[in-house]
Amino acid sequence: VRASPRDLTFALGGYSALALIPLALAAAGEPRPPRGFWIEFGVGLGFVGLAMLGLQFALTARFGQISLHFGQDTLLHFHRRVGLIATGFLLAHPLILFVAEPAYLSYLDPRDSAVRALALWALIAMLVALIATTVWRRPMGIAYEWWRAGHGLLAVGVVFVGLVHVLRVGWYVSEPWKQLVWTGMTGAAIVLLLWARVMRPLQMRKRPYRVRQVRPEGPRLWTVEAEPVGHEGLRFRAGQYCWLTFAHTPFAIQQHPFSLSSAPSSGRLEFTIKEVGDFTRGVGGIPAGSPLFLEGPYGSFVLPEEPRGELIFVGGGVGITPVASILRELRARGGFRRARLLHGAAVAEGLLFREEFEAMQREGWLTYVPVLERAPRDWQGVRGTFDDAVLDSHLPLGDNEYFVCGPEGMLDAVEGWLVAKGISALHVHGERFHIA
Amino acid sequence: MRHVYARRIATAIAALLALGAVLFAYLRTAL
Repeated sequence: VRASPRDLTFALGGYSALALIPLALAAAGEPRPPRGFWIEFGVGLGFVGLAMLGLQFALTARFGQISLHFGQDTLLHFHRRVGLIATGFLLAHPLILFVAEPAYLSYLDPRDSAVRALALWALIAMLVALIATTVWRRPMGIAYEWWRAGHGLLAVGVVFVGLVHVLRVGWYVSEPWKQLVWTGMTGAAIVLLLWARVMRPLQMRKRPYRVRQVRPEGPRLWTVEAEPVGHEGLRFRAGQYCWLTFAHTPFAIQQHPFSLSSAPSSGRLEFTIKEVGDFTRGVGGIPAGSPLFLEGPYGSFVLPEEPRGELIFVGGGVGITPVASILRELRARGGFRRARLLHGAAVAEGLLFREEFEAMQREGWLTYVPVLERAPRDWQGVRGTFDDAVLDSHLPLGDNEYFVCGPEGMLDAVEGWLVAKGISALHVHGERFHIA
Repeated sequence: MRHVYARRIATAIAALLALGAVLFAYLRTAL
């Protein structure tokens, strides 16, 4: 399932319309005396920036259907870019006003009004912290979980103080009905966050899971099988992922996205995980019976309703997991007319599920092309990485569906190559998690 | 690939919204 150009136009039109509501509100109602172009422009930027920040809450609320259409990772890239630009608008808002009319500097002067100055300085500080901790999270040494908690709190702080600022200034928002609309819109944004961070975990608590087993798949590679406790579990499409919380409560701060590697029709919920970060290092030691919670499924890395031509998969490293799910599902359904898999890894032991893919090749419907960076001498497959030379020789071009999953750099290389060769981006499916 | 488009679309929309602010300021002062 992918967004059609019509879906996209609708979504973007809706987004723009919502972001322009504050300007429309300001223009409506009792006419105000004009104050000069730059002041009005500065105020307009403030309104637009605040509206964009409010809409940020909708982009990250993780609605399954929206995620299935647009891909949560794509939404996050949009969220991230919009957030940076909105912050630019919001910081430009006071700067433009100060230049156009230095008297506005009194807003930041505690001698004028201590509460107002404090609130506005706090607003600026929260906004800067929101962006700085996101852009430089790793160099600042902030763990993902703490960043996520802080990001939500800072975001609520910014829109809340932003609302109070708009209402207190009141130049364009003096009528009670406008104040109601502003409060309602801000409230809706905060409710979206509460929904995602409080209501959803409460629902998840009613649907607990436990670890059935953890089995090794290769060097630092583990498959975790989850089983529902007292309910039917979840339905997913091959290629999707879930957020996993290994804890007694879904409110635990640790939550990580992992692809399902099992086929939906198998009835099993299996996640294949590579030890990379602090959290994943302990995966192999999780005892059977441990509680866990699943949020999802999410993601648009799924077969289209009517795929065209051949199904061509390019999987690198642990990025093979959603591809494995799709291929296992195809196999369970009796195969596909034709499929091809370029499977990259550093060393042969890293070729996850290799025997299974080779068995699919022997069944005659899959062409399996393993690609090794550090190949042993007797290696029969391809040597190297997914560079232009390897792609030129092994990735067929045509009216096919292309699925690419793997590390950031590999994704950029393969997707860039495909689009440069004239393959429409609508038929290049990619999934990436590590954007935060 | 979509992430590249997502970023471009975000930038385009932001430009459109900034243009909205310009139009707003123009209408407020010129009319």
